[in-house]
Amino acid sequence: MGDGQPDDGERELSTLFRELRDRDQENAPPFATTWARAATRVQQTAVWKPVAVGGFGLLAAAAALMIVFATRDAPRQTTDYEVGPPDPEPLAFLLMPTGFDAVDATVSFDSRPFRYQLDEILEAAQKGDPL
Amino acid sequence: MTPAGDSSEGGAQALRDQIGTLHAAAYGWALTCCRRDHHDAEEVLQDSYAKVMSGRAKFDGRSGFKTWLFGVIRRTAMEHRRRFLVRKQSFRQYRGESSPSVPPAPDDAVSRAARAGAVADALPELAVRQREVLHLVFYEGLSVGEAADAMGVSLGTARLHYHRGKKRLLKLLDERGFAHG
Repeated sequence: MGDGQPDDGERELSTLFRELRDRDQENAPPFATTWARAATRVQQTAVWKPVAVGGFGLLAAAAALMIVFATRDAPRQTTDYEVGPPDPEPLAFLLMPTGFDAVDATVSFDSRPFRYQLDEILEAAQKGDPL
Repeated sequence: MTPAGDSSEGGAQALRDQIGTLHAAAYGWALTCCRRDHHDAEEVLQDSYAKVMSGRAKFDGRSGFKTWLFGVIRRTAMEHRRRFLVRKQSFRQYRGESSPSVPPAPDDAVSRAARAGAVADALPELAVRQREVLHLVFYEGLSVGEAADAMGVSLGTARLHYHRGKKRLLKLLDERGFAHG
């Protein structure tokens, strides 16, 4: 039983489980039959396992051979790419402007007129003059 | 160490004899591990014996032979459950079957059979660990500590499942009018 003296519930469960065990024992398959079926399974596994391993090995070998022959018979690049004239300044790209420099060089924005207007507005506001 | 560790002809025969003496208990344990499904329990038992026979499961003497055999059966039942769960459920749904049951009890002791049937019906409603520990304690007569060894859990865990399972099972049986939980 659990720990210490069994209580009423444990005694009751003990009786019920004993009845269940008796019933299970009556319905249990014969040991000899179960053992014989297990032995059959072992024999089947002993036969099929090497077959399965061998089959897998054959498949792997076939795949490897297929790759070998496919790559061996494949058309190959025989002509080289045409070589153009040599670059006169191979490092010229280093002197080219970077992205922001290029944008700054091409786009300019003159904010002076707006700044003058803002100065006038502030000055007028300080003087209290309506614009 | 028992003859189970011996691979000779005599050792194999001794192993067979030893398992033969535990067959009824092993079948009961397989039933518990398979939610009281009679067919699954037979399958699991055959697989477990095949494992022992082929040497895939070897007794190393670290625990009792019965505890070891129960461990093999429990692991096999878990594998079996994983492997066949989806397939079996879909097949049963297709055939419109309800949950499996054990074969009908003999008519000579109707009330006894009814009580045993009530326990058998209530057990699958418990959690797996609760079912296992109750089986090992009440069905096999092990202590909670021995049950913990067979289940591969700590004593504290086994004790917790024992108390919760006992309470729940008594409640279920009370609802069915077979116990006074």
